[in-house]
Amino acid sequence: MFYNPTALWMDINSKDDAACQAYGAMASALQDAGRGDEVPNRSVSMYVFKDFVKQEHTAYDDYSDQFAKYNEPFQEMQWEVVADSAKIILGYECLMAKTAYHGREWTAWFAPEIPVQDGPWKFAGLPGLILMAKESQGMHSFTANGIEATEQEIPGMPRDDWYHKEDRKKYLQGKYRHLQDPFADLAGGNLPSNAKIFVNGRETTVGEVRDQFRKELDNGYDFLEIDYHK
Amino acid sequence: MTRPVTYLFCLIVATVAVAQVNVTGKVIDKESNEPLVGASVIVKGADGKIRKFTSSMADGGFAVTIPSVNDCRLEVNIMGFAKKIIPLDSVSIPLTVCMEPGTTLLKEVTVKADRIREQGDTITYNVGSFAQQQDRSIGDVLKRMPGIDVANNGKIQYQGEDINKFYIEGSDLLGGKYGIATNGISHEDVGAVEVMENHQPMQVLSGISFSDKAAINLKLKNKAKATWTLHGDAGGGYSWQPEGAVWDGELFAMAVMPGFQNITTLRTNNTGENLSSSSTDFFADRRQTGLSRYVGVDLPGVPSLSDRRTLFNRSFLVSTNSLWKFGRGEFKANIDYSFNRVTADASNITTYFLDDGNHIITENRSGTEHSHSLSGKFIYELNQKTAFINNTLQTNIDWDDVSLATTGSLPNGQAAKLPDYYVSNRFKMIQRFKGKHLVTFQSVNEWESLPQMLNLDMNSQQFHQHIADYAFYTHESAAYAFNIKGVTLSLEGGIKGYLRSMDSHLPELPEELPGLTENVVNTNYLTVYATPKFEYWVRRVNLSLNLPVSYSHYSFDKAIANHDEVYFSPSLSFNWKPNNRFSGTLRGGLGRSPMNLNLIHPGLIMTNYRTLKTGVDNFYNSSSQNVSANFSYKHTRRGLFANGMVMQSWSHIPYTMAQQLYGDYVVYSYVDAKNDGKMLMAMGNIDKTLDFMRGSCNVNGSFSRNESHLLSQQQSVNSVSTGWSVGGKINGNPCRLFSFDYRIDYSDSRLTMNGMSESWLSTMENELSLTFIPHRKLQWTVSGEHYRNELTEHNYKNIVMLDTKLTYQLNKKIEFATSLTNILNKRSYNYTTYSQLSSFESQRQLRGRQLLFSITLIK
Repeated sequence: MFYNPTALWMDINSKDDAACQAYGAMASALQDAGRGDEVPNRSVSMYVFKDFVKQEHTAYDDYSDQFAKYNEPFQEMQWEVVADSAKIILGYECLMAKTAYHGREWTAWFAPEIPVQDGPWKFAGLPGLILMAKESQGMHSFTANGIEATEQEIPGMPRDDWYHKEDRKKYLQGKYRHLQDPFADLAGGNLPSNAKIFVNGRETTVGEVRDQFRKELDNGYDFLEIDYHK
Repeated sequence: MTRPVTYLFCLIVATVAVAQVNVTGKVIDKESNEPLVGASVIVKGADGKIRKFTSSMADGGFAVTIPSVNDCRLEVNIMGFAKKIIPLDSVSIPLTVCMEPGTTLLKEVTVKADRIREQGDTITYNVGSFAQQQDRSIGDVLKRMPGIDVANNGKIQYQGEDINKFYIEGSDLLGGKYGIATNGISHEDVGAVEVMENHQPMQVLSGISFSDKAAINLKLKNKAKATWTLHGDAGGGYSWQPEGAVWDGELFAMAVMPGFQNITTLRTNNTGENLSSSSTDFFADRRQTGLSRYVGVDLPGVPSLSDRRTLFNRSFLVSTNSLWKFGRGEFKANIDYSFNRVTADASNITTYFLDDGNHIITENRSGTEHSHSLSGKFIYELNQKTAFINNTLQTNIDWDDVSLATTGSLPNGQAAKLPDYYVSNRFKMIQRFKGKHLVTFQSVNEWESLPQMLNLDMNSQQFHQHIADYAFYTHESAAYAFNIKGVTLSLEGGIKGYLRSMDSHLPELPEELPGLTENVVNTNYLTVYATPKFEYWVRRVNLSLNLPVSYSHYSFDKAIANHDEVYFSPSLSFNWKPNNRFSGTLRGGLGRSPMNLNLIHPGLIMTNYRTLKTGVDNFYNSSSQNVSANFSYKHTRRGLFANGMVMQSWSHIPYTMAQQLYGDYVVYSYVDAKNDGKMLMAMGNIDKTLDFMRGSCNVNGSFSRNESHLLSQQQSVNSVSTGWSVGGKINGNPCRLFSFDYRIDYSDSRLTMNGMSESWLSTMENELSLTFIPHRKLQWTVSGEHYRNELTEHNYKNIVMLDTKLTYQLNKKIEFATSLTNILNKRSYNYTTYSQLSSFESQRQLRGRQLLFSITLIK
């Protein structure tokens, strides 16, 4: 399972009214103390569950008020191991493998010494744990920065009820439109630029968020998967 | 006959195609006979390379197809079981792979944050991953961070540009005196250093006015927040030169709370450590009162070695800085006092080789300087998206007393008292309306008094000179700016007034000197100005054009004729930032500016025992042009930072300084001349992290060429000085037991006059420090410096200095250290240069061997 611990913690707590209230109190206290950026938030809220028996994963993702989930078979990711390439990551000898996946060319490094056919995000299916993956444009990459022993059990999906089944490409198209105009769905899309909002606990304005998103898109930002563009 | 051959060929191909082998089987748990799902199944060739791979399905089954099984082996591996290797040559398929329980031991690797991370315009350096065992303050660690440069005086640059703010947990407590923080805060208390690129400190201007400067923010660890952190050092020992006891002490207290911040520090030493980096305001605006000292009694110069080798000092510094947040604003008070006593001695021995024996002339200079400095700064600031208010009240009082005794051909004693009193208030208010309109009001008032007393005792005669110099400056301005779709148009208008009076009196003038002995001078002006400004800032491009135009009326109270002048100094800058990695800037400007008004004085002023100056008898303007280009590049994931700069400037000054000798006296005056200068400067810098040994390295180089052409009284002098330098630094921690720092700098320079070149003269400096950590509580540092200075062509002066230090950490709160500096006890820096008929020997003192014991306590 691939998830962000903060998002998981918040999603679990969302079932508990007392926890919700405590969170609200903490958030406003931090806000007042000028430490709004320390308020925990769901900025990385994607979950990927991998079912190694069915050989498929379920991805859960959301933006704004849209919560979507979809299943995809592992077969969509076809790996080719590149001989003669090795690299040491976290003390493990890793081999290189390549795949073309949903519009991007990925190079991954996996450790055959760790016999788990898993990896970050949707990556799976190599004979060893994937410790690094990079795509060819250099925009996205995953790097393992540590291995820790834990007693913690792998959690289940805390709020399956929020998500509806959706076609992945349709979902990503919507998410991209949201980046282009993050406030299109709010107040009929007519929010003034100087309207104040809080983003991740920091006070800012609608115009500033718009500019920031636009800047990222201008710099060529795109998602992990780019095959949704028509 | 051709047909059967073709058939035969086809048959062979078919056979090869059919020879694919299906390797199938099942993975089961040997103990329970249950199928194992998710086991890694790999077919490897004789060379150990992966031929094919798959994993076992829900029923434990697997299937791979390979061209041939010759010399191949099957490896099956799953967590919790021992790896199984089966040679494929001699087995029957389908296989049953029985897995026996075993442990797969994972090498546990603690989660380490990236050394450098980048998010938007913020670059975050993980302090722990750059700190070495011997580092104490956060300043020691900042020096190792690629992209950040800390100069010897403590000033911080990022990618070749001075930073514009230094924050601690987002608050600007110290202003430009951030040396207190970099020298005082322990790196153990700082989690991360953030560099905010293109930082606009005034929130009202964010998105409207571009900034090419970066700011630094220290993110403290939680243990250092919302509490007082304290640490203190006390050290004592013995020095061989100056002979006697030495001490070195420091007390540092810091509180970083949501509504209140305080840093208070007290430092004192006589071990040669210069405390000025803790008391210098690196953001200080240039004082518009424009006064400068006429009297120049300086201590003898010291050789170009590091301060701690040459500084004979007794220093004391106390500084307290507080910040209170109330409502939406904040109030800050920075108060500090420092005392410095510095002594310096120098001897020069000139030997003339004459027929009737050698003739030797000795000159000794011995001086002491006492300086006290008291400063206070009180700031109220409101920094919001729609409004900005800042009022800064500042006072500085400095007392500087210098006494210098000279023996030799002109034996004398000089004593100068040089106090300085300064008060200023700066008020600035910016209001943003409807997101697009900005209105700014500004008022600056400054007052300064710079009296100077010089007492001279020579040939059993007493000379006494007193100079009184006062100035008041006021500047009121208003500006309006309008922003639409990335274009900002603004107009600033204002008025500046300046009143200054200076009088000097030299009661007795040596007989041989001509000229007036008294000055009573007023240099006043009134300026009205307007600055239209155009700024285009869309996406990756910023273009900014400034067109300041001003009219000034100068009145000099008959010292010289009054003047009316118009000045126009346009400047243009262009920045292009196509992505987060690269940024390039081009700048250009030209303009005319008035001369330094301090040069207006008809009478003679004595600057020291053998030099006097008279002022100009005309009002001059100088003009200049400049163009520059710079770039910066960074690739944070690779830890690579690079920057470069080229600048060319031209200046035209219509006067020059002339020198005349009257007996033993030198008199400087100013005469009409055509003085054209041209300067070219280029520098580059590359920094890189060396992750394999937790280190970093740097390579830098610079080149400069200064050409000046002087045409004065039909005499033409063309002089060119050329210099270049290269340097490098590397540090690392290749294993747990050992870390090192190494630096090398090499520079070369030459002067050419009217086409006649003197020889290139080089200097080279090497510095190496090795730290051994035999036990986590114990560390031992050995360090040394080597200087190689070329005095005359191929005549080098070499000097080596060695130090060592042993530190024992009793526990997290107490640490003991013993250091021995200048082990070889090099006490002097002497050199002799020869010409055909004489020799010149220079003698300077160095700090001798020094033994210091110290204890550090940490709360």
